[in-house]
Amino acid sequence: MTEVYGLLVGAYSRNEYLIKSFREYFKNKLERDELKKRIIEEAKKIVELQSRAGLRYIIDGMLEWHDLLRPIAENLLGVEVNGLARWFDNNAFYKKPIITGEIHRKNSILSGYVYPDLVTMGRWKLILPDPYTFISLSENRSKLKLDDLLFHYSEALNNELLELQIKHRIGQVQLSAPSLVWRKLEKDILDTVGHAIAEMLKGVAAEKMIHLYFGDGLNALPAVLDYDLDVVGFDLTYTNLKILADYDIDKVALGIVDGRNSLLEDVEMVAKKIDRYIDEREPEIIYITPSCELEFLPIDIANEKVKLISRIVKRVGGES
Amino acid sequence: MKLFPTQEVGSLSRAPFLKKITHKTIEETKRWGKLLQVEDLDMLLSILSREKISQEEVTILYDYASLFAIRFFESAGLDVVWDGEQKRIEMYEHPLIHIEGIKFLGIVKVWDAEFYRKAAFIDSPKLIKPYHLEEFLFVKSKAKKEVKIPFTGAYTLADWSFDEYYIKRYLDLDDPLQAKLKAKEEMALDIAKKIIRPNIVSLVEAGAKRIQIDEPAVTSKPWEVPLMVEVLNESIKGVDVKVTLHVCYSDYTKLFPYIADAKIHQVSIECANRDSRELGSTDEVRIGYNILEYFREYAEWLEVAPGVIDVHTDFIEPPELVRDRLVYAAKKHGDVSKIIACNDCGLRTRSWDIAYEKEKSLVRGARMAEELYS
Repeated sequence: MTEVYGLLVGAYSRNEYLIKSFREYFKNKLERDELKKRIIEEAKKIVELQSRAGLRYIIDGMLEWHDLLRPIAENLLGVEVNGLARWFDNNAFYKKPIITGEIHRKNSILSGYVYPDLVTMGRWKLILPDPYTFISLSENRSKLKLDDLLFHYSEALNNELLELQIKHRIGQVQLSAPSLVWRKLEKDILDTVGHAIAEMLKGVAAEKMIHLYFGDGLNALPAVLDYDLDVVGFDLTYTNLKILADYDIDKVALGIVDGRNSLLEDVEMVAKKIDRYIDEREPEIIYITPSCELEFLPIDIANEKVKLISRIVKRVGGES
Repeated sequence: MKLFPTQEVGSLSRAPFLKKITHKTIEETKRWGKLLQVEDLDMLLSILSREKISQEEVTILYDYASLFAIRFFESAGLDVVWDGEQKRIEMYEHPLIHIEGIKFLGIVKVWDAEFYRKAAFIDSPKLIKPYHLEEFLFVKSKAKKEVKIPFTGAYTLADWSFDEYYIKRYLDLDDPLQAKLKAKEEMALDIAKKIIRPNIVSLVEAGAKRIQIDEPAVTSKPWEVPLMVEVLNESIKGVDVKVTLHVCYSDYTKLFPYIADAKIHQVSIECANRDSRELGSTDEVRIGYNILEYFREYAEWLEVAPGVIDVHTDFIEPPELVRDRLVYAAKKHGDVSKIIACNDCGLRTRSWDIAYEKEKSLVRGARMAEELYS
């Protein structure tokens, strides 16, 4: 019997109040403490919304993450933050990390960016860029090769994860991996990335998920299925679910709720597609998720999408 | 024939008096008014001196802002001018507030604390009224130089909006990419036919000779470049007007070979931002202009306006640097008569003082380049 749950897979939408708070802060018109207070207030609402929607693991909103790479780029030795670059095919931009030398972790990377205490113990979900996504979206000005950079990054993040899990019980760690599917990569690279991911997640007790989005998940199959991971997630605004059903995946996350369009999906239409998938594959667990981060939606729409996930989970017959 | 004619791209930051009116902004207004020799300056200063400004006077202020910007570009010596988009909100929201069939849903982050108000198409769009006509008529009545009207293109309006209407027709398709592409094609073509073309027609009927269609979104989905070309052609079908396509901060290689099918006359691209500041016309220093080779190979008949002024820095390009960039661009393209001297993009993010110096450098550099060919 397939268990069905809901999940989010990336940073949450910032409301107008918070965006304006950041603007004030950047202009030195708002103190750091007051900004932090406002972030925590909004994060609490996002946590509460997910709890009410019955999501299995809960993100803290990632409201202080200006982009997926920034907290890491700002806090790793050997990495600097540079100018803007386009975030895949979105009308959104990230600041490109510049790799200047060997990558090391000196101090905590994420303290100040994460709020695990807002979430019930054991249900906090942490999201990080996978090694290939971080390195390939950076500009390499060092003389180091891709393989070295992947493993240096993985080692640094592994230290961070091990330290974090001593302090907090992490429910799920998700590696966000758009670069693995944005273009089809050579099998050699995918295999190397698999080893780097194993290094990054070595000793991590939480459930381990990878989310493949902004591209056709089939680009990374079957290689990713051999990775040392528990859950593989797909962006179904790019990936054909019927073809995905050719692969045997025990724990799969189906990003069937479009995280980049405001149209609210019809529960029955979505549920029928998932029913067919379950009939064909009978996976152990299905997570119903948005296709990507919800930060591309205005907050009211993002909130509706979370509630929609809850309704889909109930309709398909899972727990919520 | 004048070589390296000069033109601007669109925006300029707001005229001093469109900001909060203080003693400082009034002084700034006087300074610029005198420098640019703006007509009827006393009337403007009289309005600014009032305690309360009526709605009617606000409209007059916007007319003055437009006039100041026209004189700004003319005074700097440009051959083709516009009013710096003084009367527009910004390039996305401004067109959409003139369209029925959409609804604004709220703000979304673009980066850090930058955001825009994003709308969804909920029906087939209907133009409430041509939204650049009054603007154009005013500019036409005041400008002493040739005028080019910048527009946001149909593809970008589609790409930056949510779709709650067209996608519904394709939700039962198994291939999600096909579904999105079909919906996007219908949406963008609808915008081209029902919004952009009627706007262009109204402008041409009112005497417009040149337009500029801005498509900054085009290369973000490289597989949709042919769609942008199709939509662009639909927008200008049957209209007799000189068309510039402006694309910036993009991977321009993705435009090729498709751009050759576009029924346009000129392409304006940002190059200075990716170039070095060293003087010279060698491959080593002019790293921002290699793309001109692609134009030579695939669409040598097109005029190209490579940006020789970086609009995201206060660095004032020396005229010699402008000259060298133009000379190199001409060398790479192979036909000097096709090269236009231009900014990378609109000057919205620069102060008027910086922008003015940059524009004067643009003009001086272009004339220096021309002298080398005389």
